[in-house]
Formats: sequence, C-alpha cells, structure tokens
Amino acid sequence: MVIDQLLKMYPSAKVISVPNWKDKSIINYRIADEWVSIEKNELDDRQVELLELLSDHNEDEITNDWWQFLNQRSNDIPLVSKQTVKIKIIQFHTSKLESRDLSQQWIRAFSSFFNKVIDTFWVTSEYGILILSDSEISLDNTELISMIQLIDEDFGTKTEAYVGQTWALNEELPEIFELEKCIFEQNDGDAVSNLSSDVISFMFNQKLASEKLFIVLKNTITSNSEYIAMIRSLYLNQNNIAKTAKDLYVHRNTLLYRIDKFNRETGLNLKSMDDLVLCHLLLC
Amino acid sequence: MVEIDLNHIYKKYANAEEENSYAVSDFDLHIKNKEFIVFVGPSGCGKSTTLRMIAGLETITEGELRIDDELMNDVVPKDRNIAMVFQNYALYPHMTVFKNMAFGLKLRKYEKDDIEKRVKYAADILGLTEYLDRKPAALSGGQRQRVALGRAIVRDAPIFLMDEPLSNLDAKLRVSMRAEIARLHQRLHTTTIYVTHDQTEAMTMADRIVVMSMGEVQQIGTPQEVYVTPRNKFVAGFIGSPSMNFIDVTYKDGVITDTEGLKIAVPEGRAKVLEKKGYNGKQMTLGIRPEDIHAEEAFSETWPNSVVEAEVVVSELLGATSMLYSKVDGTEFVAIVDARDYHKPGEKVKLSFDINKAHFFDIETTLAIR
Repeated sequence: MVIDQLLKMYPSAKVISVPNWKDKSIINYRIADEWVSIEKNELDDRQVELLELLSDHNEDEITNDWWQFLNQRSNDIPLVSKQTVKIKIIQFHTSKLESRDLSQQWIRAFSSFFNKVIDTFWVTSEYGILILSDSEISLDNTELISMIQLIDEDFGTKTEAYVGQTWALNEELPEIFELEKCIFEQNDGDAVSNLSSDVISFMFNQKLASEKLFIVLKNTITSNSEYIAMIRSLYLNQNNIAKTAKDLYVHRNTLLYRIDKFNRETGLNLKSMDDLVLCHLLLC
Repeated sequence: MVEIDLNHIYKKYANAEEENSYAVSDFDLHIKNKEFIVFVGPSGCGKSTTLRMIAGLETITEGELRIDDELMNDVVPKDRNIAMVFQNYALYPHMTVFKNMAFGLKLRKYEKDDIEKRVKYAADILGLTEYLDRKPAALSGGQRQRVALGRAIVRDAPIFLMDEPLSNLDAKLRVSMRAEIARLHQRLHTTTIYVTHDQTEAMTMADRIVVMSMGEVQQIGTPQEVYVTPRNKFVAGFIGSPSMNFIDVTYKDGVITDTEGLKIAVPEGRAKVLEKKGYNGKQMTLGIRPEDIHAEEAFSETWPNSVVEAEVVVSELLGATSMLYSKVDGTEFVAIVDARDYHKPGEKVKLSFDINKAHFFDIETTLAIR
C-alpha cells in the first residue's frame, strides 16, 4: 500500500528486483520487502529524510562493495589480490560514538590488531565489518577480549565481536554470512564469540528450546542455583572433577556428592559427557 | 578526595534461570578516600561483576552506587573518571609505549604539552622512560603490564579499578609487580579496588579485604581480622595458605571427639563459650590452621590433653619449615612445623592442637561460634 502511494506520488518511482547502486541519479529504498528506486531530482532534502525513515536500511549500509556482495545485493565479488582465495569476516557491534571522526579512529584502532585487513567499514553507526584475507588470527580469545577492553576503555564504548570462520571467496559466501549474522545477533553479551562457542546454543534455541520436554527438564535442573554453577563449571573444565572443585572452591568429595545428588534428583549423570552437554544446552 | 558507596547492590542477568538468581546480592560497602580494597573469592563469586558495575561496564539491577555522594548508576563509563587495569594487558601493536599511554588522553582532547608531561611522569614512576619509543612487541611481559599501569596513571583519575592485573604473569614477576603496585599506591594515594582470586595478593596488598562467595559478601575486614577472626567456615578456609584444617567433631563436657578416634581437651574458656551457646553434646566443625598444630615437646608438655599421635602420610621440607600431611586413624590434616621436626612418611609423631587458637563452626549455618 505504501509502495502504491509512492508510485502515484513520484512518476519516476519503480519497483525493482535488484537495485542499481552505481547509478548516482537515483536513490533506492527498501520498503515492505520490496526495492523501490526514485530519481533524485524528484526529491528535496526533506523528502529524502522522510523516505529514509520509511526505509529498512540507511544509505551508509549500502555503499560498500563487500556489504552489497555479502547481502546478495550485488553478484560481483569485490576485487581482491589474486592470492586471496579465502577470507574471514569479523562483525562488531559497539555503542554509538559521538562523531564521525571518533568512529573512524575507533575502527582504525580496532583493525590495527589484525594482519592482512582487506577492508573495514561501518554498516550502521553501531555495527561494522572487518574483512581479513586468508589468514589465521594470531590472537586467541583472551587476547581478543583484552583488545576490546582496551578500546572500550579508551573510547568509552561497549563492544561485542564475532570472529567468523575462514571461508572460500565465492558465490556461496553471502548465504554463509547470512547465518553468521544471525548467530551474532543472538549473542547474549559475550565480548567475543565465534561459530564454535555459539553454534550449539544457537541451533538448540532455534529448534528445540521451546519444546515442552526441554522446558520441564530445564526447570528441573535449575531448581537449585548450586547445580547451575556446577554444570557450567564442569562443562568449562571438560568434566575434570579436580579443576571444577578448585573453581567452585569445594572439596572434590563435596562435588562428587553434589553430582550424585543431582543424579538422584534428575536422572542425569553429569559424569557422562552426553548428559553434561544436554544440561549445558538447557542452560544456554 | 574520593569516597565510594555501594549501597545494597544487586546484579541479575537478563538470562538468569531463576527468579532469585543474582550474580551479586546485597553488596554493601563504604570505601574511604585513599583506601586499597581487595575483592577476593573463587571464580564466579561476583567480584569482577561488582568491579564492572563500579566501572559502568555492567548495569546495576538494584541498589545505589555513589561516588562522592553523587549517584552514578546511570552515568556512562567515560564520565565516571575511573581508570581500569585489566587481567590481560593488550596494547596497540603499532603504537610506541609513549603513544599507547597517550592515546586515551588524546581522545579526551588533552593539550599536547599536558599529555607529554603526564606520560613522562608515569614513565618515570614506572621505570619506563628508556622504553618510550619501543613498540609492545619489543617489551617483556612485566614491562607491558607496567605500560598498562601507566595508561591508568596518566589519566590521573581519583579511582583505580584493577581486575586480576597480575594473574597472567609468572610467579616471580607476580611477586615483584605486587610490591610495585603497593609502592605505587603509597606514592599516588589513589583510591583503589583490586580484584583477585589469590588470597596471598589480598593479604599482602589490602587495607581491607572483601571476601565473596556465590555472589554474596562473606566478610569485610582488615587482612588481620579476616585471618584471625573469620566470620564463617568459607572465609576461614579461603584465607590462609595452606588452608585451615576442618574436622567434624562432637563437643561433650570439655572434650571434642570425632568418629575416627580423635580426642582433644578444650580449654576452660573456650569450653564455657561452647556450652553457653548450647553446643554441649552437639556436632560442630573444628577449624585449625596448620601453624597451630605443633610438634615441639615443650608445647605437648604444657598441654598434654591436646596431644594426638599421628602418622605422617606425606612430608615436605620447605627450608625453615616442614609440612606434615598426617592422619589420626581416618582423620587427615596438615601441620606446619619447624624444619627440625621434619618426619618421614610412615613415621609416628606427637602433634599438639592449640585449641586456644582453633575455631568452631556451626555444622549447619557454618558461622563461627564465638
């Protein structure tokens, strides 16, 4: 209905399947799951602003070749050196910065920690992308977390980052990126996440978490806050009783007693990796 | 001059499973100007979460955070005038030490001359002057951690928050950096909150220690107070290395016994307290520090009713002292004795329990009986 009205109001307006971003004489809007293009000379500044409010994306989102490719708005694979056959995408979300200059400094500081950066850009004022050439990140998770802490301390931001897998740079990448984006969207506050850390809970929450069986089971295992800490620590310590006891600051025998008590109450044996993974998933 | 008030602070995460499942519960503390406070406790006890709430990196679910009486709950981190030092000391890899220390100030639009003065002052304090032109890759672990401290010092913030800043250093470096931080505090007098899981760091650095477990404050006191008069079994076991020995015993008419054959007399004064509190004939936990179990003959002659004949299971000679992991029938405990009283495993040894220095804990509430 909105689109019909736009078509009536602006004679140059057209519903299109794929926007032509290279034509600078038109502006493309994403409205009600359709792309609409309107000639610039039909719009004054105020109308442009109003239409941007109606649109599902802003202009910044679309000016980058990588973003267009990754979001299937263009089939052209961005130009890279011949040696680049695989890439890694790092997504980040941070608090809004006060000025464009600060945003540029922020992204420069962030990308200075990585080697072989192909491109880096803001998609919105709070979400951005870093494209790395076929390279393993030399920083481990702890180092990435400390890097984010450093930047947040300097810029007064709160940042979360998702480190994507290394993928072949081909036409399958946009579809893969779509899922990486969804996984990152479900991040519940971890400063750094990746496929391995988030995929199981992502799949579980997508498919099973709302089933009655799992709701009842979750209520059972969360009946005692001691159990929650115990399951989390056992999982983190890969079921190592000594390390878990040390982490929880209880005697090894106390921990074994609690595991047995949990078994009696729930029928789940946390010494078994299968049962432990199930309990961990229920807590995700 | 800065004072911090944490008034009945609670933290609950949005994804918490239970209605009353708090990461931090009823945290209530007044921190005085220039004080060095240490939050200590095992992993997941809520100490870092509390620190992050003070820094503004976590929201406060309930309660008030006041700095110099100004409510800070909704003030964004950069406006709190707090400097933080983290466990992992990341530095910008392409910047020199000087630029790493100066970067935060530059973003805050400090004058160039002022930045230079502050960085040089911090570098001087930390012995980094000759490294100012180096990049982080050319620094040792200890030097990098000093740069991280320098980044906090240049801010000249009235409050330092330190989140396990030494835990990534090796044991030797940790000891020297511990002294360096203590020296820094004596020089700058900045109000400091320091988080650690290492009770030795807590004991050696703190003006006051906040012992935490399961999101709750267990005890607040000077190192001496928490060591000598622990409020409960958790504090007693957490503070002190090696840990306090705990033995479940029954008290009856001036004597404590356990099911494994241990039998020790309780001095009159301590016995009176136990009886007055209604523990005659009841079970309780005896807590005794390893250094309060003696092997000297003089002690056993003075207190013959506190002597047990134990078998040494494992012994460790540490130089001036020996640790004797011993047992009386099924009851195991560790004693720290003079090196001259070293015994080999399997040997029998007479050990005296100094019950005047021992602690008794209620078996159910785990609170100290005093």
